[in-house]
Amino acid sequence: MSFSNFKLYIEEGDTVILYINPHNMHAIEVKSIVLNKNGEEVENVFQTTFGALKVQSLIGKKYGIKVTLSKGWAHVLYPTSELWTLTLPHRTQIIYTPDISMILFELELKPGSVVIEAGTGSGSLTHSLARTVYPDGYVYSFDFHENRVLVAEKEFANHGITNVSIKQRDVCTEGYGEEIEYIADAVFLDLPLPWKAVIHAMKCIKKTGIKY
Amino acid sequence: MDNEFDKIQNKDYVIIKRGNNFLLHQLCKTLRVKYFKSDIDLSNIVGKPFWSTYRMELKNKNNYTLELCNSFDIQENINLDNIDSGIDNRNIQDDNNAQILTKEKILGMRDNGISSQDILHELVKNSKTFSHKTEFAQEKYLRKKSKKYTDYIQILKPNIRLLSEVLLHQSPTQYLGLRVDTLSQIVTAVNFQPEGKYIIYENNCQGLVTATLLNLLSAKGKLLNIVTFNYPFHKRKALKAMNFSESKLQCLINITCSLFFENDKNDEDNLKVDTEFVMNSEDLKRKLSFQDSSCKRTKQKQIEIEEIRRLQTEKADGLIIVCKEDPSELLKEMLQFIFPSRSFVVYNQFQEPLIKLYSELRHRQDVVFIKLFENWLRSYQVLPNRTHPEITMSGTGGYLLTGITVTND
Repeated sequence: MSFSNFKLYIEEGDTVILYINPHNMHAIEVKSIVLNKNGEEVENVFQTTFGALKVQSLIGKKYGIKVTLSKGWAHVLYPTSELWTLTLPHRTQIIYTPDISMILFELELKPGSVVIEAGTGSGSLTHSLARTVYPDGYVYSFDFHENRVLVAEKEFANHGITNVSIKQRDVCTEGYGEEIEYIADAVFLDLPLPWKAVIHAMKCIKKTGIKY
Repeated sequence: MDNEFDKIQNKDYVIIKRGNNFLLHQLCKTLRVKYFKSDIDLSNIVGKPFWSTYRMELKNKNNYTLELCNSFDIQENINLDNIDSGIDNRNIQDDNNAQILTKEKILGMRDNGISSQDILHELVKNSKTFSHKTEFAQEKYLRKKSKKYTDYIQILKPNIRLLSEVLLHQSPTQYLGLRVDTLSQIVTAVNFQPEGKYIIYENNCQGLVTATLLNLLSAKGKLLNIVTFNYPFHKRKALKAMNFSESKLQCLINITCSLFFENDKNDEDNLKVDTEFVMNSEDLKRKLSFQDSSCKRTKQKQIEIEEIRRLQTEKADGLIIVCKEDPSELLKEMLQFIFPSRSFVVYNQFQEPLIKLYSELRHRQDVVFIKLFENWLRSYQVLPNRTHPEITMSGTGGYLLTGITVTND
């Protein structure tokens, strides 16, 4: 599956959004079998405030389907970047959709754009960036926190997003690396000391790229 | 980006920036434009890259030609270091006698082709009160005057960000009070994916939303544009101003509104309706090419019918409605054309029709996550020690209603 494409039916390995009400939504990875805390393989049952859901029962169903929980019901939605922003596990503070919209707009991103982001954080904005520049564009994302990079990389692989690369790097001191000099259409900084990263960012932006 | 593509060609739309003023202009045969009472000859910009800066050279009275110049050479400010400044304005009278030069003399200087910097020098030298003004006031005075007498203009390439800045600022009412932040949220609210297929119904917004979405579409994507009779393509200023390539415009499929909503009728009926429409609406000048255009229209109609028929099985991935009228009926009619678990978004300038729609949707079983909201955007003047919200700004940017379709199968 991919966050950047649409499809109609749920398959094993997809990430879906379980929508109970506007304040109660969960992102679930569709896996029939999971490991319990003893390392044994058990059937994947997801617990909600309205009872349990056997995750395996979702496979082959249409997105948008209504499913019964043991004490109520919910809808299974196709994952969008916006729903992901509302349900993702927070490792840092995240950027929410109203701000994301404005950032995408002001950076003038469109399919084919190359964009650099620092830092990755929880990957909320990164999902939207990847979707907007899809299919020919690319997102280079950096974070100085090792674990965040590893978790984010895994998430993007799970979500079928292929046009993002995430590296552990402190861009304030090390810059963005020689391999991405003068290729970016836009650079987005969300760091503790952004002014230290600006000077390096100048080296990444395309030579023709003028933003008045 | 391809460099050839960024050269200015005749018939292109350009944005002319002079000081802080913008003008959207389509290059035409004569290559002249009237801007701030001056008649500018634009023939020098054709074939040059976008984003260049030009100096306006006086030819004869009010007639200017443009000379390419390096933007680093531009010097419009004068050095304030050797000029005294006052502490406050207690001794300054607003009696219109501060400037010794007469209006005729100042305009005369401009008409004789004296550079803006020299004019500024003269204005400062001949102002009785300039040296009593505070440093802030001096700076402000110079900024105001240099705006008035500036010799430099820049030719910008229209993109969505600039266009919305230019168009929405000039006449917000022509764009249903849409503000940039709301426009940007329409895109995210509908989960706009470059390869998706979307239906848009846009009325009375000059094609700005359609242009924004088309700009975000890749070659595999599709945008079905439901057009009303009284609002044809050529009236959609923003869509034309983006200088979209032919291949890009092919992703945009215009479907006539009446055809879209009367899809039960058979095709022949539709074709007849169309010919009648042509007869009625073609004006005298175009009657000669009637046969030709009628043929084209029939062909176009067939494409439209095919596309509508395809929608029955291959539904769309999202729905966008931006209109002046009550969107309730439109939305309810159109929801059947999008797949389950896809988003829709409705924009309206006013809250009331959307409240009504919201409560109607709440009772439906096939939509969830319905939200009605408005945005709050405040722009700031950023200057050292003088950063504050801008004095004039719009109070509202319109209202959005969003939701997601679901299925009960």
